Amino acid sequence: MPDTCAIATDIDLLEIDRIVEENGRGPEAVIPILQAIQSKYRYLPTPALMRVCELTEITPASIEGVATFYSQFRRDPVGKHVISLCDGTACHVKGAEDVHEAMNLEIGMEKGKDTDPDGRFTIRKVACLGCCSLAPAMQIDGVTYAHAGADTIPSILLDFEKRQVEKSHQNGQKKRAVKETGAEIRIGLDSCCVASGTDRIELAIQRALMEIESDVPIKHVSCVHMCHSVPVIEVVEPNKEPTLYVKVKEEDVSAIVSRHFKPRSPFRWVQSSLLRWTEHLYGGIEGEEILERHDSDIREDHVSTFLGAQYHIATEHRGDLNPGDLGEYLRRGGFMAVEKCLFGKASGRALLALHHGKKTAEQPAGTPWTSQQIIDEIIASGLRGRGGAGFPTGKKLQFVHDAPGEKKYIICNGDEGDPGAFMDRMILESYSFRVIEGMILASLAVGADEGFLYIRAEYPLATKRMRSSIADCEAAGLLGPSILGSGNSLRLHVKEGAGAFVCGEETALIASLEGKRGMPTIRPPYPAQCGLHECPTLINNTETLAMIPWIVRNGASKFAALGTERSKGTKVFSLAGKIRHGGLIEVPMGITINEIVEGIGGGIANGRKFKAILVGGPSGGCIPASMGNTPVDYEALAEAGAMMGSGGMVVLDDSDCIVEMCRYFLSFTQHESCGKCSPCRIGTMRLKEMLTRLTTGKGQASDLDLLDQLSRVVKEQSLCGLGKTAPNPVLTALKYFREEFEAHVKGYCPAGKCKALIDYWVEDNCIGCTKCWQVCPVDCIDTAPFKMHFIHLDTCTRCDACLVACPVDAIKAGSRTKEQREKALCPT
Amino acid sequence: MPNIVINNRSVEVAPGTTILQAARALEIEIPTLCYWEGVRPMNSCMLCVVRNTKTGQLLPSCSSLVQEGMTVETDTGDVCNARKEVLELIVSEHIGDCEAPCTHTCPASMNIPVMMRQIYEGDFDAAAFTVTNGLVFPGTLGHVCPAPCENPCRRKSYDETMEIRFLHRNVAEKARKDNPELLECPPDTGRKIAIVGGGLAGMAAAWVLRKRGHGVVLFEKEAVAGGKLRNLTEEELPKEVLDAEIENVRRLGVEFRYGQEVNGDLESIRAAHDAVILACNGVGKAGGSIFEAKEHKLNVRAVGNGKTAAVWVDKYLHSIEGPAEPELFESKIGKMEKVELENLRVHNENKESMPVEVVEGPRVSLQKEAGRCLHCDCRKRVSCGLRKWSSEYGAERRKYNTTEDRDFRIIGKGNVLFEPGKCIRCGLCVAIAEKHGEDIGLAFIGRGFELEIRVPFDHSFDEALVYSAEECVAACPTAAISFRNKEDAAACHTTTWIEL
Repeated sequence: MPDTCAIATDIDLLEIDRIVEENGRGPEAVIPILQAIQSKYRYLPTPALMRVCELTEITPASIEGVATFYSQFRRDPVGKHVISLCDGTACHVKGAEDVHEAMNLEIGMEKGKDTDPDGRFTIRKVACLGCCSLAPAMQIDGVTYAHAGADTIPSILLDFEKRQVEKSHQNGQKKRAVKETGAEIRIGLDSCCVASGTDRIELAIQRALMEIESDVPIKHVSCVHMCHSVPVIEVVEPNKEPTLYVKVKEEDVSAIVSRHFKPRSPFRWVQSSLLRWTEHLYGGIEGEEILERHDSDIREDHVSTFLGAQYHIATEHRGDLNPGDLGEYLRRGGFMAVEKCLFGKASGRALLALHHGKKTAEQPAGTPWTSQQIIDEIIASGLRGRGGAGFPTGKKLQFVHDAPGEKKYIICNGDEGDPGAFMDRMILESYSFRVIEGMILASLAVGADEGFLYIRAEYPLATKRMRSSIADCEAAGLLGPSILGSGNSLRLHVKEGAGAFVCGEETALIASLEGKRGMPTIRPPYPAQCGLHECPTLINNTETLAMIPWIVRNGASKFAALGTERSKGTKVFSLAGKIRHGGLIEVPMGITINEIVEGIGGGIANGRKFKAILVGGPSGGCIPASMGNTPVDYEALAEAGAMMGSGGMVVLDDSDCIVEMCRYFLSFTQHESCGKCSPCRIGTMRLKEMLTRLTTGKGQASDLDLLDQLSRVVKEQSLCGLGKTAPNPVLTALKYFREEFEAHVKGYCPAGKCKALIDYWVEDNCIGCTKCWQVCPVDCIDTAPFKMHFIHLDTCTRCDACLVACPVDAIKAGSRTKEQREKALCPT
Repeated sequence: MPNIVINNRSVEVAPGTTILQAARALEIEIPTLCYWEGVRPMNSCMLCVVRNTKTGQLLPSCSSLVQEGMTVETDTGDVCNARKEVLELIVSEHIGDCEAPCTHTCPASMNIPVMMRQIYEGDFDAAAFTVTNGLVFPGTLGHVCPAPCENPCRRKSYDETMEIRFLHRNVAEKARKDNPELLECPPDTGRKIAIVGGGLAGMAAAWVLRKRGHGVVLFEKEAVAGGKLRNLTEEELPKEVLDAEIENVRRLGVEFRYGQEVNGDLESIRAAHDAVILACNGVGKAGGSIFEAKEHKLNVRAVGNGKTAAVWVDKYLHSIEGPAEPELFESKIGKMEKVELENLRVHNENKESMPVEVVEGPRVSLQKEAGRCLHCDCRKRVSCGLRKWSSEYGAERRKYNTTEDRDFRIIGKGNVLFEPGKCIRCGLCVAIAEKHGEDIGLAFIGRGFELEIRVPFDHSFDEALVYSAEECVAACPTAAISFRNKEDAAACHTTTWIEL
């Protein structure tokens, strides 16, 4: 009997009353109210929604509309645990679909359902978990797992169950005394790192340190960017070069710890040495060996190439800044840009304010900057919006500054919906104070006194960090009614998105903040004139805002010196896909694709060939390897048919099928289309259908022209950016890889990726052992002992089991043209 | 006051004017589906696009404000093509028949489903108008017509066909003799038309022309009208029925000249009349002001020919010329599966209003029979914007192969009906309900291709649209929202295809 489905009948309406009390009664409260109800009941029961309508100004039409628009919300009950399988681009190319199938099989899901019969697990696909370099990724309740695969699923579920048990035990753990001596162990605790298991590593370090009664503190640091090598720990000892360990395993920890830190008492020393010696005797791992493995791996080549070409502005102090520590941020020059603008010079007021409460000591003040001065500085820097379109940031600031109106808003767009990108997540998680500082500077420039950070629902850690960072800044007087006593005020609020890619579009984002369905509206009017609550509103991407403090602090000219003629400064990219060293990179504009892929990324993994790079996610396009000299620059990318986008880069190798990728992107944009305008709503569907036909061998030659024609219609006639860019992948693919489309029309997939176009056949060297028949799950192999076997392709599911089982490699798989196939069937 | 140039014509408009409003001020027509005065622009259909010649962009004119110095084109080839493309996308998911199979098959194109609804509701006067408007001789044809309409009836694929001919014959018999609407004519236009031949084709043409206020003289070589029908036995066609219907034509004001054979003197007749319709063989050739209404051995086709000829004459008299009519757009469902029909039947039997007024015994059986109709027709066959513009722009119905499941349902037990297959998701009804401050209203559900319009919390459409149903039905660009018992006036008064 499912123990979760019983909730529907007994909804405690008093609980709803309390939720409404907490979130307000205006129409804009609908999303937070629904989120609260969902976190309480795990779905949205109808009686609860009806009650909300009774108590608030929210209408039934609005609540039903909103509850069904955002993918976070569910109207049906869920199982005890929710498994979220990432279907982002990076995960897709690494086989997310197989993971889904395997997961369904593992937990015994019935066809067409998303919850298993026992009500234990609900499986849902999510657009992107933002852990692209650990693909395929998945989440069970709050726990993220990296590198999921059909083979690892049982162990993942086992680990999850283990954690459930551990949870109840952890509370009883003793606290360890720590002392600041200059020695510390650094560990990254952003979502990627956690997904790779750093939380377990941290526990292991705690245990190891406890073991030797050490007082060395463990420090949480910002994203280390080397997502391809996580978990990473860094051991810092006074007067020594820090030592970096990559791909650390739980069982390696005690060896690493004891290599650097000696037990405090001789007794402990003997005890722990003995222990390790015993472990060694009984087949444990050789300590030195581990160190060797980690150490040498990192010291030499790829770390330097990975980091060498990079330049850190938005991600300044990468890997050694404690993301939650305001004091540390201040000591490293944080908020100096704000001081510079407010008082003419940076004199450490903020730091003093932090230590001595809100009363700041008398400070010699220079002349404060005017808002126009800040704007001019940004204009001079040449900074352009990092959200995708590349609109000059200074110009945007000027528009909002010049727009008439008493009340103005500022919004940080952290709705990073692009599957295959995680820059914003990492910036919000690791450099929350830098984003706040950027928002303060922007608010001073335009005269806004209230701001919102709109952050994706899939980024719980970012939301949490941001909320606590805002609270810290308010306590230190950096935010609030009078910033550092200057009289300028700014209040910031964090708003969680609810799962809609289209909300990255600014008018849709505003609609969402106002409690509506995230449907874009026509521009003009632009938000700069008429935005949130019809007031002038500045909307900037997270990364753009994170660049502003550096520009103000170091001067526009220093920023403008980086990059190309039209694209200045640096850009953060998330590099993922079939690359050897994926991760987060910040590079000067103008660097070429090849420098990124071959240099920073270390080339393609597994010795395959670099085929193309997808830039700009589902709105971007694919750039073929032959155009690897294309510089990363707004115009150059646009000329190539792609776009900068928010900065997702997914690398494809020769085993990836371009047509299949297009189908994937269109099914993504189709799913994320808001459904408002018909070119996008219906057009993306028709594109997806045509692509699906091609990947299943049902395409016709005329489809290619229709595909091209319809792509242009959708591109030109859609209302907002989502529709206008959705056909980009198809258009670039048709331009650079037309022969691959033509091959699919002939029923042949050159990359051997499209399942329906892959054949399995038995060759002459078959010994008739029937092993393949024994493993076939669908019984599609004709066998007679000692006779050549035959595979029926109409029932075959291409599971590969027979091929693996064949002892003489007589079973072959691959894509064949129609002629080849016919020839094989009738050899005469 | 911003200035805009539309198709090389300049106009000054008040700030905040949309391009559409500016164009309308210049009497330039721009097609729209999701635009409705009084609610915010929906920006859904994107049919109203115009080209901004300076930026090269296509702008939705219903919501783009006029900017000083703007230059737009509304009717160039590429703009029209853009509209055609968008229509082709919309019709690719449109599930419904523009014409019910019965009406589509009827050579005289009588609106049969409307008759069914009128009979069912007990409004026999209205039904009499419908059958007469459609067939002119509903009683006569009720006896002699082979009823091609009953063959494709969807009810037939479910169980048994609707008895269409039986119904229109009975409606004709039970129609009040003094039904004023039946014999109502608009004021005289002063035009006079000669019709040669007093068979069904000639008389049907005469009827339609009189109904449009033209004077009609009918030349018949025999002493009585009715042509070959006079040869039928009393059993096949009671004389009384035919005579009564011919009498109706006379009462409408058609002048019958019996015993007048027109052979050599066609020219003099042509000269004496504004137009001539030849409804007989071997008299002369059509051309100029002479038109032809072929008699046909299939009587109902003869009626249809007569009606069509009359409409052409009417157009000729109003000097409506120009290019040939575009081919009429036809959305078609095609063959329906048994389950789909079962859904329709169940819905049909769920309707709340049972016979309004049960007066006479025999009528009840007529009402019962009419109540079996599945109403697979389109209630806005004439006033549907999608059909109109798809015809005008020559949209191809099946440009795209689609894979989604077909969803032809009629939702609503009460007075307001909703047909999701015909909905283009423009959201006008959602906005209108909101404007009227409905307690329940309508909601957009889901997003992307799966977006649909539904009533929140499973209330009914009647509950959702208490104050706004009238406006929603009027505003809906297709027949997605309609009234069960209130017919679209335009659809009821249309006589033939070519008028649509």
